[in-house]
Amino acid sequence: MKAFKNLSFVIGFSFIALILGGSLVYGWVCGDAIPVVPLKFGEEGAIKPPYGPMDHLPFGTNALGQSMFLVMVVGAKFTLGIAFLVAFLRFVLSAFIGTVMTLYVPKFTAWIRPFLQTFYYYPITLLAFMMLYWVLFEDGLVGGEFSYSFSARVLIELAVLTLAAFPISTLIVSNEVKDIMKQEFMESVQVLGGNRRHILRKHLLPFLKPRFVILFLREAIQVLILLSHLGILGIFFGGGALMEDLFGNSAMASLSNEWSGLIGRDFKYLFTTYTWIPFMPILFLTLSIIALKLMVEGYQEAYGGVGEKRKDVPVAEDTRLNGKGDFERIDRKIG
Amino acid sequence: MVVSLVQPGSITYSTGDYNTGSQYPLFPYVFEFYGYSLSILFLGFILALVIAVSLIMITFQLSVKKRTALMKLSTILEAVPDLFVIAMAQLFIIFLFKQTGILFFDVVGAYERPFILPLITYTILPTIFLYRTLTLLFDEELRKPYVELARGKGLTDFRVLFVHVFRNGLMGLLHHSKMILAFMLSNLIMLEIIFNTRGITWFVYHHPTPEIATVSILLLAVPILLFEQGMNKLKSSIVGGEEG
Repeated sequence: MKAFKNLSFVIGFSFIALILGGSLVYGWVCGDAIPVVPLKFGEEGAIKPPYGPMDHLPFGTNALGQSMFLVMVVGAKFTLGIAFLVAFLRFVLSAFIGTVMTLYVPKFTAWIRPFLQTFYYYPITLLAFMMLYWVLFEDGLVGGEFSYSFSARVLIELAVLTLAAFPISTLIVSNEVKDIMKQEFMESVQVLGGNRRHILRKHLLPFLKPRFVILFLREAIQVLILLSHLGILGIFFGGGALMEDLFGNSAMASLSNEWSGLIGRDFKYLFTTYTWIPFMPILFLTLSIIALKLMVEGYQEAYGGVGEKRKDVPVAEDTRLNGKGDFERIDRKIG
Repeated sequence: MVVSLVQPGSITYSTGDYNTGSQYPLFPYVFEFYGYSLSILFLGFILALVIAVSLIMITFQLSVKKRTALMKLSTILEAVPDLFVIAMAQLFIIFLFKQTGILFFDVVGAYERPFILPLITYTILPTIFLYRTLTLLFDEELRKPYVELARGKGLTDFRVLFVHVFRNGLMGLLHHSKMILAFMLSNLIMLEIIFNTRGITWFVYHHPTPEIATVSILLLAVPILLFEQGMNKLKSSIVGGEEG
């Protein structure tokens, strides 16, 4: 892998690997148990949870006295897991359909393109929200119980998160394929009698492979952002449960310490003195997204600006004038 | 559903509980929300463009090494999620409030809509995005032969950049306009929900019925499509080339 020689890629990759690995190992060893920090005694007597980042290192605790750090670690595998799963589903679906459609039914693709483009002009968050609202929010809030089982809810949400971005991702893949098909060698291939399967296997896939990696990573970033948006809108992955919060109000809460759920549940504390409770998941989400972005950039650098045509291509250096001439004068050698 | 779209006056929305809430006609009322969202959207875009262009004018006076470093930085900053930016902006204003006792801008809307702080917050990410895209476009533009010709004629670097490269580069932005608008629209939701500014997406969030969703899709898509068409026409009249 050439990409592992690139510093940005390695930094991004190590961050994701570290946090995901740490989370998995913690779940394995400790079974996701989050110990409650006992009462602490400061200079002015006992301090009640939530402890600030200064009182309980490194990130303070939440209202229940759980260390925010451990909560983040436990939630990481769910958040990143969902993001990668949905990104993978989106990627497989749109890569397959986008490629095949552009290659085999170009006229139909040209016809359907304007319809797909319309999806750029409506926020995906709102689309996903409206599709999930009844299943994951209202249904549970009104009756206290969801009418679908947990696994059904998870499947519905996965389907919605995948399909919401499907038109745009397919369009992107289709555009890339169209671009490659315009290259000069494609004409020669067709003149020499390569059929579509041959073109796909021998000429398209080598170009598409690095672009697909980028597409996958970008989709993962998109899913993370979409999840956080849905969290704010009150939709938690797989639905939530009614729980009592810091001030004894009952509110919907996420089940698995998954980050977007934590953000959604605790965002209202941003203006209280407990700023760190919502801020920690936001921070971790931001760091993960930046890490993924670093991977995208590093990968692009390693493979010479794939996926983005406007990346600067290194200008071929003119080596003719670097000291040595191309020609040596023969007559000197004779002497 | 189709009937209600043909007769938009008949669409209603309800307030409060489903049992006690009363029905109101949607139509003249929704324009208030809509106007707010559109003004934030377009003002934000124009502001971001102006700031990005002025930043670029400064950037291109720098050495190539510094420029590359700035590009890398902007690439990373571009990835920062909107949620983080909004939270930081609000925390910063509150921090200032605690320090100085002056509330510079309204942080969260109640009966009045806050305008300045959402607009500023909204502008940050598109500015970075536009800055990055435009720098790449300008870089590419600067390698074209006409730049050499213009320099050879003795025009100053600044004039070449500002008059010739600027015009062509800005038009190249049209190819990226879909990405930028999609990006800005998805940021708009978070902005309206978190700042509680009661814009169109806020309205949809609080009244998620099929009719209102459809109306909002139409309301959001139509002006943007018109805007894009207009820009395309403008492009072909300014720099020539086919529409697309």
